[in-house]
Amino acid sequence: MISIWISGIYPRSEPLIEATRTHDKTLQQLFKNEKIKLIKIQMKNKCDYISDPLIDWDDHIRPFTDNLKGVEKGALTRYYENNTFYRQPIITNKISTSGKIFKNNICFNLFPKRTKIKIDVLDPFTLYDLSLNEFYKSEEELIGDFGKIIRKELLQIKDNVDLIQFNAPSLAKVQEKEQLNMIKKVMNNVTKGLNVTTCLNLWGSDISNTINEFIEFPVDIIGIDFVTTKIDKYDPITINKMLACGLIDAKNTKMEEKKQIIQKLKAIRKLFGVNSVSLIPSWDFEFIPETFAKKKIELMKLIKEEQRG
Amino acid sequence: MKKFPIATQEIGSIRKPKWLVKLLQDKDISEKIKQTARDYMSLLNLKMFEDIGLDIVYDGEAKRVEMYEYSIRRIEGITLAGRIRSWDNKYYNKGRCIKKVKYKGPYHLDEFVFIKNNARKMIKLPITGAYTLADWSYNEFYKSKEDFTIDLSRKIIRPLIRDLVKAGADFIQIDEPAATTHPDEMDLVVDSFNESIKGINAKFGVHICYSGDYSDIYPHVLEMKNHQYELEFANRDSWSKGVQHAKRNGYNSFLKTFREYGEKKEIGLGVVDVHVDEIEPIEIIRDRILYAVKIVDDPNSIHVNPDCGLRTRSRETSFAKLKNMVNGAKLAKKALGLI
Repeated sequence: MISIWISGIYPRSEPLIEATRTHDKTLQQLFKNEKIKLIKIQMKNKCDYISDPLIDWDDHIRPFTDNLKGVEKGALTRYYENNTFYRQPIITNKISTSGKIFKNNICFNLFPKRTKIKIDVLDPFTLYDLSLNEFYKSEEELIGDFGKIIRKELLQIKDNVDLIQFNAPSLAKVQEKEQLNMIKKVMNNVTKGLNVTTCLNLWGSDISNTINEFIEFPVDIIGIDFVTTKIDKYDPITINKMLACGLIDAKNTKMEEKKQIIQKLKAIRKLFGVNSVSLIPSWDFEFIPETFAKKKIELMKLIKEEQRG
Repeated sequence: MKKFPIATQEIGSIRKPKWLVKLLQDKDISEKIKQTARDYMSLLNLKMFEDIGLDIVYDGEAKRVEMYEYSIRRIEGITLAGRIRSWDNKYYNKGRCIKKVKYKGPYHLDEFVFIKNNARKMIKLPITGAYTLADWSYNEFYKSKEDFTIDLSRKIIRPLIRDLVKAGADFIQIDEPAATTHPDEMDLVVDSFNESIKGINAKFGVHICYSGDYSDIYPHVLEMKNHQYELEFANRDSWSKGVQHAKRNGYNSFLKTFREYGEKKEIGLGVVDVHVDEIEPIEIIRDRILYAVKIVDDPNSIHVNPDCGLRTRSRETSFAKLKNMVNGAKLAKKALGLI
């Protein structure tokens, strides 16, 4: 038995793309309708956690860039190794939040009752790494303050949420043990006493050398991008957490073979001695057109059903 | 090749007016009328660039739908997948490579010949490079990205350049905005560039933009057989006047590296930010140029251009920015005693 869910920002449909290009007056209503549709698609495809598809977010960090005190909007900057760009937050003063960023930017009112809700949030180190610091004297201090901000935000919504997924593409790149320990402490301050299942999703980098450090992070689930790093790069170790396996390539339209994914899931279970695994995309789906994203979710559902059988 | 200190040049596309987009999308209008409209826009852009005073011109890519899509639509083996977002509400249509790529003919030839017959100034022809075509496409066919990229260089871009040079193109800008997306692949960027121009005699520029850090391109680009780099800088620079290092934070890192490696190539210096509507004052443009000249110590190696194509700005804003760019360059030349 496996669980499945999707992550981050979902691609916009063609009608929505057109509406955003022409500044359609009904745009807000369209966003709402599309979100309802995409929530239904996740439910129809038996996703175990349902998330806001974030199609109205300009980038992963923009609600923070726009709403945090002490932050100004900077240059358009490349988002990792993608042909996708984000507005870089410039830290010009001590940062703080009203605590309403998630509340105001996630569509809690659109989820049907009894849905298991997942929210996506960047981890404190990734928020730090994507920003330009012009105020803080030390890295540690700024990462710590980002941690406090995330915690304040999460405390406001935790009662409505079943899974908090920290998407951590910058953290996944970190190789130094000392730095990882410092970030682990910050994460501990973020997650302690939340009483919500948490996932640290390590997008986009080879973590085969640092996996021992990451499994010690204070979260319930570790997400690994097995598209970027193939399974055979990992040494066998026992992981006493659930593993979210990023085996569905979120950056290529080429469809995966169902059989191959099932074989890989089997190999991962054996390699890491885990029973509890989930199947997720390697990143968010915003890097492929909506029609292909939909096909990939349908494939995830088929794999889930076959695993159950 | 003749030295051309602080020559001003365009670099990419200019937004098409709404009436033209509407006309081109109208299924009831004949292809003949659409072609006349495209010619008209090409001519209009060209004359506006010349009147503004640019030294090196093209037509703002008036006849192309977009730098990437226009090319992949004309390559056998690549099919359109759909649009995805590059930032905010800006999108591009991505292609899927589903079989071996094949050249279908010189897809920029007609537009180049039209410009050549109408331009009064020196021409620089922009084309999209093999690495960017590969990086922005989904590879569903080739075993590796290297195979895909090099096949595009040899089978598509090289024959295209050869046909364009045969028709009289002598300065070609190869656009590689994806060049620094994957720092580990810089050798592939260089190999694909060199494969694309192999055995062809012309002046070649390479346009790279929106890199996190240009230091990634060194030392690899020392092997690249280009004559000019056209680069984005203004986007990351301050809007304060002055030629001190601290004021020109968008330029100092690359220019120092360029000097340290003893580079003899030209730099197409991005002095205009194409993502904001504010028009750069001419004094700031002047200071950006003077700073670059101070660091590389040779005005002959500096050309001046916007960071990238101006298609995301209105036409009014674009031409106002270009006008200030030309006037800022004049001020710089005056300060250097070149006029």
